[in-house]
Formats: sequence, C-alpha cells, structure tokens
Amino acid sequence: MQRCLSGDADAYEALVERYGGRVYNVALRITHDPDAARDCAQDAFIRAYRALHQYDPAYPFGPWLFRITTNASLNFVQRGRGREITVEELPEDPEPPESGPELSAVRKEDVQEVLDAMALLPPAYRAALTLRHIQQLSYQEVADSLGIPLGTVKTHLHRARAALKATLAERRDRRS
Amino acid sequence: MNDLEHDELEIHALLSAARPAPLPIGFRDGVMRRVRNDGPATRWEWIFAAALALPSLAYLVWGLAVHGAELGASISAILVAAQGLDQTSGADVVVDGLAVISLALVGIGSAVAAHAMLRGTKQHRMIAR
Repeated sequence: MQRCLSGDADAYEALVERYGGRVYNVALRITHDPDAARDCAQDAFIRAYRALHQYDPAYPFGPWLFRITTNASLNFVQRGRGREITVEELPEDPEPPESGPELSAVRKEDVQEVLDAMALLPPAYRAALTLRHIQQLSYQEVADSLGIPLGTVKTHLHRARAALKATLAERRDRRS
Repeated sequence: MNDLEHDELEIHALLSAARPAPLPIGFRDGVMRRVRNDGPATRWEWIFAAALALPSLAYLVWGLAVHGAELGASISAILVAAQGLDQTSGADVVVDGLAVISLALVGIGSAVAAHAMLRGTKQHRMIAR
C-alpha cells in the first residue's frame, strides 16, 4: 500500500488483482449489466488511483474502494442507463464439490430467485444488500462504503430484506 | 461475519451462496493501461509548456535588461501624451518581431500549463460524487 501511495503503478496492479473480482461483482449486482459493471469497476479503479492521496491508510482499503465502486455504479443506474440482466447472461460457474447435484440444483434455483427479486429493489437497497450479504461486510463497513450513517444502513437493510421476503413469498404463493 | 442478526439469517444464507461472476477477460490490463497512461500525459504537457515558454521568457527578460531604459522612456512619453500635458510631445514605441512572437509563445505555454494544472487538480479531486 505504501508503494501504491507513492505512485507505484506496479504495486497498484497487485491491488487490482486482489480486489478486481469483488469490485466487479459489487458493480454487477448494482447495475445488473455485465458491460456496465465492467466499465463501472474499471472506472472505480481509475478514480481510486487518482484519489489515492485522499486515502487514509489507517482505515481498511476495501470499504474505501467499495465506496467509489458503489458511487460509480449508482451514478450509472441513476443516469437511467441500467438494464435488467437475464438469466442467460449470468455466468456459469462450476458447482461446489461438496454439494450433490439435487441439492445444488435447488440451492441454485433459490439463490437465483433471491437475486432476481433483488434486481427489483431500488439501487441503494441493492448496494446495501450486496455489500452486507454478498461481500459480507460489517454494518460499519457498509456504512463507510456507502457514505451514509450506520442507522440508515440498518434501516435500508431491514426494508430491503422485508421487500425481498415479500417478493419471494409472493412468487412462491403464485407457484403453489 | 459475527454481527449477523436473527432476521437476516435466511437472506444472508441465500445471498452469501451466490457465486461471484468471473472478471471479464482483459479487465486488469484495461485498468493498468489507463493507470499508466494517466501520469505521462500531464507530464508531457508540462514539458511542452516549458519548452515553449522558457526560451521566450528568457528572450523577453534579456530584452528588458538591454532595452529596459528605452521601454521606460517610451511608456513615460505615452503617458504624458495621453494626459495631454504637453501638446508638443510625441510618443512612439518600437517593438521587434521576436518580442511579439515570444509573448505569443509565453501565452500558449501558459495555456498548456494551465490545462496540465487543471487536469492534475481534477485528477486529485476526482472521487465519485
């Protein structure tokens, strides 16, 4: 990090390598558009590089970078350029070895269902859910990443989860 | 994560099981290409501005040192003529072509330097929102 702060581009490459996947996935869950997510994630890394002098090494780098990423992604969505992702566009990843085929099929369906329901939520809620449950940050880190008070984060997450549960229950009712 | 609350366990179990999408091919190279292109662009602007302005400034300073007295006298004469204190006095200034070109080059160099400076400031301030 010290080498990065002194403007060493090679050291920054290691950070891009380390955080690239997480940054891209945060952007993907907020924008729901793989192309936009790639652009937002790249933009976030460039902005972070240019603003490195504003970063305080006393704090973890991840939430600072996620804040830039969520802002870039939310700005993209607010400009009305986001679109809904289709199931076919979701990447096909290998199944975890410990799960059997039947269990993993059900699990994958459930996960996809909750991700689809998440796509219907307001972008700010999607961002909070992504950071909290997909990136598994603490409440405080989510608050730091979004630049909003801790209480607001808890409210957003509570409402987002309630909306998700309602959407999922409605879908299950319709199916049954 | 040890700060999970009871009402978030169900959603957390589902969302945390979502597998991360792989990074697009060429993502890191794309970022690093832009990062590496960032610095030198501004640096070249400063070099170009210096190459334009410094020789011209040197020539203007030399001109002032050599012909400063003549310039001072000319300006005084112009001021006197402008105030109309002495109807018989005339005022003229002789400016050589190189001085005009030097002034123009200093102006262009200053504009390029201002652009480089603004760009540098913008880069430092550029944080989302």
